[in-house]
Amino acid sequence: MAYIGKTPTAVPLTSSDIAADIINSTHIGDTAISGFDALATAPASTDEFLVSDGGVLKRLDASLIGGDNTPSFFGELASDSSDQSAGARVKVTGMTANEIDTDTAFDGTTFTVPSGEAGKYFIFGMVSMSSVGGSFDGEATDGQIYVNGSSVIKARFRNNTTRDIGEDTQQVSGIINLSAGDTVELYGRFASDDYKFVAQDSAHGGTNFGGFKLIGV
Amino acid sequence: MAKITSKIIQYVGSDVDFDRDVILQDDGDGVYIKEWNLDIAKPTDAQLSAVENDADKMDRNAKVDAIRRNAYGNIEDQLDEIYHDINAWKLRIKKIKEDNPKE
Repeated sequence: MAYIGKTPTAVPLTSSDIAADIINSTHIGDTAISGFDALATAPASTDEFLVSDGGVLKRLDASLIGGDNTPSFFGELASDSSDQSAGARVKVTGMTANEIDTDTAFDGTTFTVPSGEAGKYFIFGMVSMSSVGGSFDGEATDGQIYVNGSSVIKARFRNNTTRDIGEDTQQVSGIINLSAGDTVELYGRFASDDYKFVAQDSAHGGTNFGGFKLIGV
Repeated sequence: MAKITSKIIQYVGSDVDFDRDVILQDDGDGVYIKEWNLDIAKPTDAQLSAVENDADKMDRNAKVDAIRRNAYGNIEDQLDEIYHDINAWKLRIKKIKEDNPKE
């Protein structure tokens, strides 16, 4: 500001010099955190929030809030399987319909935990089986989740009467602690008649397999 | 070709629990014996082949059993049938057996 005569003495600005509510967003540069612009999309992991940490205003990286349940995978059996041997635990293959595979780690049969993604996973599978051998003397069915070639979770039905089983669906699920490189697969078993795995349809349910990494545990 | 479960039952000579005694598995390359938890020695392929005919017969008879069971009807209906006319029920069961003979 221009002046005539002696230079005025500098006096610090005090709160009483500023009328209440007179400063708004138009007075603040874009580099200041003002909330002037709205973010209309989901925040990137490097975006930041303002939070009060015990009364002190701080920035918080979005990556530290929540997270993604990935890797995740899912697939439905694309078509009915060929006939399987009665009583044998058989690996389910060909679950390629409506597939979800966030980390290119699922080939329709095997999910392989990607490098750097060790942790607890929720794994689920549904095995629909139908008798094909003609004796309909099914007495037990089960669905199992295998890790590295060994059964770790099993769902089972056993019929101790003389009644026959023509069809059955087993649902198996659980939380499994997995390491990078571990393989996860779904197996089914139908005793004591030959059988097939059934693909998704309105009459019979269907066979599917999936899972995702848990966060916060 | 007979079921592998039937061949194992014929080889052992008694009923087998395929959830505990013997675990069969197929990882995509055919069925194999993954676990054998019986006192009798695990059979060779030749020993299983040797009981193929008996196992085939067992499978065929199992199918006859299934046909018979279906024709008999459920046990509640049969009890009602027996209550009303036990001789008629006997004749019906006899005919089902004769029409579907076992080997």
